[in-house]
Amino acid sequence: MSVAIALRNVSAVYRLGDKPVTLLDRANLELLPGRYAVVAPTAADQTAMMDLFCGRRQPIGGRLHMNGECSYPIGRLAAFALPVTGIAVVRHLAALYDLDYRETRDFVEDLLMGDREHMSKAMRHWPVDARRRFGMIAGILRPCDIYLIDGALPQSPGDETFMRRWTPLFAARCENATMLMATRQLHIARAIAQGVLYVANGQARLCDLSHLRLPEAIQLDGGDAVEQEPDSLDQEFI
Amino acid sequence: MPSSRKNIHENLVHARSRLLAGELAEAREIARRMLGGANDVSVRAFLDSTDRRAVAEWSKARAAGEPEAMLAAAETLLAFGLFEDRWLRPLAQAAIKGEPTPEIVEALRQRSLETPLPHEETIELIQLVESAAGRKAALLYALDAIPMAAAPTDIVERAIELALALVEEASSPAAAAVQDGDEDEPGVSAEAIADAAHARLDALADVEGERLAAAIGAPTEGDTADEAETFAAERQRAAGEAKASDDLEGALRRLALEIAILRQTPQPTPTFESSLGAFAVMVPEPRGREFEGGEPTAVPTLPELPTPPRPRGNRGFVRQCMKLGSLWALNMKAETANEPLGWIWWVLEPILQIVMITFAVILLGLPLVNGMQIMPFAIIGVVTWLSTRQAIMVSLVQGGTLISQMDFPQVRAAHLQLARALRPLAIYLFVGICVIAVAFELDRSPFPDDPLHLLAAICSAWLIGLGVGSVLGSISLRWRSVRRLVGPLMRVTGLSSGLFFLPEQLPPNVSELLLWNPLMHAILIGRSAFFVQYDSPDANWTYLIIWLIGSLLVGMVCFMNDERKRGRMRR
Repeated sequence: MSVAIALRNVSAVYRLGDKPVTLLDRANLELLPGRYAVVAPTAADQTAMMDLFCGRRQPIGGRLHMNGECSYPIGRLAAFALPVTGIAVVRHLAALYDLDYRETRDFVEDLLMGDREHMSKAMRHWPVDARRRFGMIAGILRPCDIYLIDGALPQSPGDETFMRRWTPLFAARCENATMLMATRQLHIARAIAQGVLYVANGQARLCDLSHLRLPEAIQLDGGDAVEQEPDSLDQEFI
Repeated sequence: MPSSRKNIHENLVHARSRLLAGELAEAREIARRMLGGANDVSVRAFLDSTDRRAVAEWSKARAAGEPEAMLAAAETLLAFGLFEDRWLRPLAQAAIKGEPTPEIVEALRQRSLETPLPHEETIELIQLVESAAGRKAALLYALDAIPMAAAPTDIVERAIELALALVEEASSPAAAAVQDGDEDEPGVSAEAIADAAHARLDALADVEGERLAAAIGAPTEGDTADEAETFAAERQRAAGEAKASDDLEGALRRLALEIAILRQTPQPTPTFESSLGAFAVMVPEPRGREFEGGEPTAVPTLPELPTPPRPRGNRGFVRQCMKLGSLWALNMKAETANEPLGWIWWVLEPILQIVMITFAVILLGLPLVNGMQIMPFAIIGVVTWLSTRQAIMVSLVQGGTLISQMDFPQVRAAHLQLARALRPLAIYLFVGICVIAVAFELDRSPFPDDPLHLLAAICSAWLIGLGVGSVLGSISLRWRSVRRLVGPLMRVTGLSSGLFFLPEQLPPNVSELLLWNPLMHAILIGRSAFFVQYDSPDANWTYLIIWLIGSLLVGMVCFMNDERKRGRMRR
């Protein structure tokens, strides 16, 4: 089975205010196709890790190899808070994804249902829920090999109608694709993820689902990331 | 075995050497023997450490996702008796991907009957058992796994395949005779054997079905528990008979019973939720669902997912251009807020800039400068300078309103910089052409002599601005105060670039100094291309191109370095 994502000696930093924070320090890892939850000590680490995967942040050393096309991080809203109309953004997305504009617009409007009335208004003035739904539709417009989820998925009862139509389409897109989710909705991550990509102390490791938890709840030393390795034998017998 | 302290030490050293050589089982055996003879604390510690080491090896192999390492670690854990049921699924997955030993397959077979595996992995495991222990063992495993499976149809189908293959194997001498071409010999073809086996299995299933129906009796509501008990009892009976006979016939009867049970059990119709699999959790509970008694809701009608066109030839360049164009349009719409006043100001602002600077030149009171009409003379200088200046300012602050578009993996920082820098070039060229057209109509300007040459000069200056802006942006990341210097620096550069004068009008030592400014060359080349009567003696294309290539190269290096080293966009 081919590797979906490979980190080879990857080093990455990000800035928290003016302070540089080391995210990865010569990390090596190979991820096989599957569904993973991204867990890190802080939410900033999680976001920075997703930035690395979607290409917004570049590693300062080493090589991050993504085998195939990667999606927009579903759940992020900033890209849709522009003072331009929904129609203009759909036109932009169609050009970006190399899709037919008419087909793309029909698809978006069909899924938006009640929200389609906002299409001719500036997206900055859309209700947040409508913008979130638009962002989720944008994430499945183009078939990708790697899907990213960063942020909360709509889970209020009012979102049921939209989610009932969006989820099967997303599931269809995710078939044979790799999925990385940095979400705080643990019940969703627990049901969907097959493993945990744990990022701490400059290293990225694969763990089982027992390590799935909210960023704040994780010990900063990351001591319980993997089952404890034995001390060196020499120390044991001295 | 009596062991002195010396013997313990020698054994310990030997065991440790085995341990370090990776032969854990041998090391552990030595330690066990030692434990039988002596109750030394260090030997217990040794054993504890081997246990921990084995578990750690397994964890490490799992974390790395290496099937072969996982299988090796699991073998040690199984040998030590440390393997836990919660690791069964990862082990099954590793076994499917790697090459498991017969011991691992056997362990998986046994344990999966106590802790059932998901349906897909059970099917794969049947395949593994077949390759490790033969077809009959695989059939027996499948028969054992069927009662525990939530959706046994696939496993029953796999068992039928195995059973038919076994029947064909058993009848192979007869079929072989036909295949050898011995037409005179009375024989049976392989197809005929398969058909006969099918028919036989069908008949057996009918018999078992009748027996089941008789055992259950007339079905009434609430009989589910009784039905399950009857199935369990029948399974037990069939398994007992098969064990006693220990032949293929017994296995076939067990399979027939499972087919009959499957026929008897109504198959659940797939609900919308079940069709989503693990993703069903994403769908929130609908409003008022609790009052509806949890009835499955209707499957929604879904739109067809858009499909990208098939790649035709080399579409890379076209796609990049489309992407740039789209970002450029989005940037324009975002900067004008897509409102009428925004658009009016978008055009009005450069017109005012150009007109103001042009009139400043006209106010000097010169109708002609070296035979060139003052209006186009000034406009060429202003358009070149303003588009270069804006390219520098835009490159200094890369992301702007479009920074959030970096979330799209298709968009890189370079796209944003280019798209944003294209805006001033396009707008100043557009406004410049409009003003010159008006001047031409008013007989205040000639028709340009060499428009392409003029365009090349303006674009060269703009590209130099792009490169210089990237360099200045990179410097400003290290020393922020540099940004404050850029404004005054731009004004000095503008004033010294020949907007209002020609180098020929200045003293030779001053003009020599000002000719170091590449913008001066671009403007002079532009004027030479526009006016037939003017050919600048100082304009130098070579100098301009050297600046162009140099600034773009250094700018690109700075840009790439910033992207990697800083790991962020300049805002």
